[in-house]
Amino acid sequence: MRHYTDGHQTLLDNLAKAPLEQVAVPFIVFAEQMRGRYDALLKAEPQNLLREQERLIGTQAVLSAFSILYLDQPSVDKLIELRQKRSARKRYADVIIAAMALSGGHVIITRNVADFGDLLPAVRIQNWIDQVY
Amino acid sequence: MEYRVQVFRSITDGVERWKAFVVTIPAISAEAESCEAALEEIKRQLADAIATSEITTVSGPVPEKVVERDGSELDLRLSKMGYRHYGIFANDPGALDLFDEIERQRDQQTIDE
Repeated sequence: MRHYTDGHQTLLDNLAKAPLEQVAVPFIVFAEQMRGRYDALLKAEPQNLLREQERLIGTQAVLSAFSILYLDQPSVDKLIELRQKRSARKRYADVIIAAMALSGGHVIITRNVADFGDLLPAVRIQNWIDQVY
Repeated sequence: MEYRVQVFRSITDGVERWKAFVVTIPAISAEAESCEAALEEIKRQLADAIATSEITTVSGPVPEKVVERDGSELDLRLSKMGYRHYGIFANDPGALDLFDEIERQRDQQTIDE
């Protein structure tokens, strides 16, 4: 979402080939962004309140364009399975996203390919920020 | 005080006409047979407006952020597909700090903790 909101050219070129109906935002990404914007607004000094409010409204507008992908039982089962298999330190949010992708047959779009390399087959990870598909 | 005035020249049926308006106050406009006459009329209206008006402010709702689109083929295609508000923080680098904070928070919550 960082690169969507800063208008990254390669990402936009790739999105122009992907129907919006086939692109979704995992609930965890949605939650992290909204939590961050609300935190920033609630903690803002008076002179920064309107700016933070504008960022919150902007983020809401961006996210509202996409479907939100929520957890279901198969993805929770897959999460438990992945958790048990992992011995190395893995970030919980990444494992949740990977579990959702595996159980739902989705492809993860990320620049941080390495974060998911040992969680998913390579065909389920694409870097639309640095590569044109 | 100086006001920027945009002046248009046109010729219809061989007759020259001049139209002018104040860029920051488009309600003040004039039309005449010469540029000078149009500008004189603008000056008269400005003097009248300044003498009988005041500048104030009103409050309104916060507008939804409008993305500056360049009208390119890519832009048109994305819009048709339903993609909206991309590039919304392109001119607000501070807004992108959120993503660094999200990364920090993810680093702090691992599955073996």
